[in-house]
Amino acid sequence: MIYLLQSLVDAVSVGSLYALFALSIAMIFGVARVVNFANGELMTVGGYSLLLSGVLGNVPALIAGLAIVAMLALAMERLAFRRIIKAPMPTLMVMSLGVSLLVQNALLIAFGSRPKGIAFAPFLTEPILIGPLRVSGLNVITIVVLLVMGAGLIYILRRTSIGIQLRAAAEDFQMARLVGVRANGIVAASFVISALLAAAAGMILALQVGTATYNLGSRAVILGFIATVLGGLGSIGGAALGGFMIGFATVVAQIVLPPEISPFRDAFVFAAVILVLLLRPQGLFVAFGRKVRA
Amino acid sequence: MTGPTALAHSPGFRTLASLVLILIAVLAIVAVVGSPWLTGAVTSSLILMVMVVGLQLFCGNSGILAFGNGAFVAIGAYACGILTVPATVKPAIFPYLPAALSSFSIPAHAGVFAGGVVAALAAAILFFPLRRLNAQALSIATLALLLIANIIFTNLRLSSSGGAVFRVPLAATIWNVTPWLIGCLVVAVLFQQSRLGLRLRASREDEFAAESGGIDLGLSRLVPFVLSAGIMGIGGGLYALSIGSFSAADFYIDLTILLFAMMVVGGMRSLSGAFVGTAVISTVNYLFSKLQMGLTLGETKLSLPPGTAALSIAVCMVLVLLFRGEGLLRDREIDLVGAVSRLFRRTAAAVPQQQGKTQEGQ
Repeated sequence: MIYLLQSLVDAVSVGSLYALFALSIAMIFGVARVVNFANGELMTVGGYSLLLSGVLGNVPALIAGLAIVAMLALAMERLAFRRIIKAPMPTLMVMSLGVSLLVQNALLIAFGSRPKGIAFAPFLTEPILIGPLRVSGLNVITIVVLLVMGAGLIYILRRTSIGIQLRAAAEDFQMARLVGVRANGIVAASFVISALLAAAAGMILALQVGTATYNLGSRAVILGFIATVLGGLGSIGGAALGGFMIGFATVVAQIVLPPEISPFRDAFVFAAVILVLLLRPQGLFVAFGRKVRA
Repeated sequence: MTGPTALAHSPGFRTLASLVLILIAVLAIVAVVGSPWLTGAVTSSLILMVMVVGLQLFCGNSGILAFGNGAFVAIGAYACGILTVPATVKPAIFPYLPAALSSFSIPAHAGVFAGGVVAALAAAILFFPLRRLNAQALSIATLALLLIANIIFTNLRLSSSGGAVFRVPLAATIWNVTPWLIGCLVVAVLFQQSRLGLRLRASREDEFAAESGGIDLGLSRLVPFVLSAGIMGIGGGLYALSIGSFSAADFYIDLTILLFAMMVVGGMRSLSGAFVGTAVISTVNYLFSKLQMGLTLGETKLSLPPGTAALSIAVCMVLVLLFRGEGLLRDREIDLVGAVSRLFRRTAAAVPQQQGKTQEGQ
């Protein structure tokens, strides 16, 4: 029973982290129709930014990290994507691959290939005992961050002018422009929101392993990409659920599979994703009748 | 029009002839220079070119970004590697390999062929359930395949060091890689010119219109998917023979991005683009890798930090996409025959004109 509950906490926490990955991918995709592989590097920079805590202190480092990642995302949008935003989707996807490769290797040159140890709030990884249940502070923080950012996202999308413009642009970009949504501005806004989500995810990733490396976000961005497709490209809530499900399934597979095949755990999860795609090529949570524009 | 005249007028044949001529010129230069470093560099970029030709066959004709087709390079390399490691050492270095596989070995280039066949078979089996997916879902599904293949090959129990393969005979030379490349180019050109290829390119421009025109998308994607996987498998086999030892990590995201960079920089929709893109990116890659390893200029040793080569590839990719989104060649093919005959016609036309002018002058 305790074991089950323990696993449930792990599953929810991993699921929350994957949901953050997916949200960050889906946010840009919804508006700009770019699956931005360079979001992985936004996460990596978020992770590296925790190194600032030694200089600035913990809270200023967090804020500075978010700001740096947001500025990097703005630079990506301005320099790489704005000029070609009307190009077909494959071109945009390959551009994001190129930007990802560029930033990743710039980080490799700047920081070297050795992991940098992070001394940010070490108490976070210490286990907290709730009765017989061992919960790490980071588990709780991951779940809280998802809830807070998710709530913030819902608030922005539903209640603010920017949010309404974002949703309008996601629905029909041309129509939104005709009624006065500024195209460049709204794409930039989606990049910033996506960057904040990516930064948070990257910080959590770095805290989990205790170090930051130049390829910290590489795996995460692929997971986020797959989760977004699973949930239904273009559906933000669907992406979060898709991410959550993949994270959850990973932990469940870890528990259920016998030890000799547990190295193949992720293979089963990805095979399940293919299966879902076969049954629902539009994704799991795309509302009936709403097709994704290519 | 039949016979040689028709052949000379077929655009596919002219592309093929041009690419082969360029290859022969490159080989001649390499033979004359005779530097082992250059020979090695050109050999490995020809092997990469085989893979890019395979990737382009599917992606270029269908317009689908098959992110995961690096998986077929891995399958080809593993099949070739396991089959060609000498039978005398095989049981010792791969103790966990089934006896049926470890009791014999086949000649190196038969192994390359086997790698292509195994990869094509795997693609045929895997594509069958995937055939009904739309372009986007298919591109993700292949990415998932790559992730799965990576996990499987990493955790394969071949020896105590897991899924690594070593002691593959180093049988790939520039002289035997080139015929494989030419063979793959022939397959790619034949497919491009075939009815199926034309149909597929029609569907690339508009999925819905093609379907309502009676084109079975799943079926017309199956053949190029299998051919593409076969060629990539051959590329994997050649890679195995050129490097001798490898592991699953060699065929993962880094290789995928490199192959995509090569395909896109040249122009994804053109076979010559795959050719040009591989040449450009390989040149940049080798130049900066060499600088990365260190260059001695008199007293000072100049060496760039690791990551510079990859960074320079990324810069090429971003610049080309920014300023020439469809790649250097767009969707055009290299046609030396046409260029030469145009040049010939122009000079032929210019000569009497000049004569006329001089006569007027007198």
